[in-house]
Amino acid sequence: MSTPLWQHPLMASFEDGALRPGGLQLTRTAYDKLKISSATRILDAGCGNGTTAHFIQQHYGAHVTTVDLSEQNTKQAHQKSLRTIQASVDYLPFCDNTFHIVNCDCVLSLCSSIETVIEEFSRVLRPEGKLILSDLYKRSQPSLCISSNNANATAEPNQPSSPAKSCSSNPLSLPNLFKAFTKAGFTHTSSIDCTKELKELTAKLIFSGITPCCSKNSQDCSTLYDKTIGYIQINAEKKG
Amino acid sequence: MNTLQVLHDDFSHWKCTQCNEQLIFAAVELVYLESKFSVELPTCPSCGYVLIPESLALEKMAEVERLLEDK
Repeated sequence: MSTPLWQHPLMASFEDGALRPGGLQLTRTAYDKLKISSATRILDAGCGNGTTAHFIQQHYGAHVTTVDLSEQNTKQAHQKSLRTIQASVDYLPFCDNTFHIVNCDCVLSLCSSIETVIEEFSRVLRPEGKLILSDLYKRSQPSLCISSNNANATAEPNQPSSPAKSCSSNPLSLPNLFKAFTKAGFTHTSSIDCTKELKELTAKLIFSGITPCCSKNSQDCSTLYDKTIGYIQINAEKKG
Repeated sequence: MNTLQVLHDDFSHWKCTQCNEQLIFAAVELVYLESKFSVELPTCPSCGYVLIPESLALEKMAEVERLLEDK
């Protein structure tokens, strides 16, 4: 069995070690707009090696808790002095209304049921709590742009119940995601298309001789790079 | 910006024809469309002339160009 891309040693040298497109600049883009204090409780759901959570804790002074399914990731996050629990994002070990913000980067597309995870995020968020997620999504066309407050993007619906092999095998269907938001009591507040950042990370992988995550075939990286896959950061708010 | 190692062959036998200096690996900024990448390439330490091997141009660089073009 081959090593997952996010576990490749070189991946930690790209994008500030955040193991996803955009690195910590993408985190700044979302969090600079928010009022955060030491009393702000943030959950990083699927924290990976803890780079993003550690940055949020250090840079914004928030009270950050992390969960990840991987024992290895949990240990790495713990080494960064983060409160870390090994758990699945679709069954969070927290009481209702615990957090002001839930952060979830590049994890939702790995989950078997988006609806279940979004419902769980809603449960642990306080009323008017913020959900900040970024992930791969299925673009309807290569030049698709998503504007804020607009959920009109079209895409082929994915099969939420099908098991995901990697994030690129199951990019988010935005219509399905927005349906899940509505069902769980979220209002979509804004989105930023970050496909350029996804391409730049893919380019770094090509330059370094690593097979990109978003290629259809490991033998030829970019000619078979799936250009229908983009990357997006989405902000939503739980209704009060 | 981290500098990417894109070449693994030995280029120490290459010399700059203008300066007669042996090429050394140095960080070079590649720009295409709106994206920038810092990569290590054989460079003349005197005049800064950069050697881009044909294989790099036709393979990895061409692949990255196609990727970034979004066509």
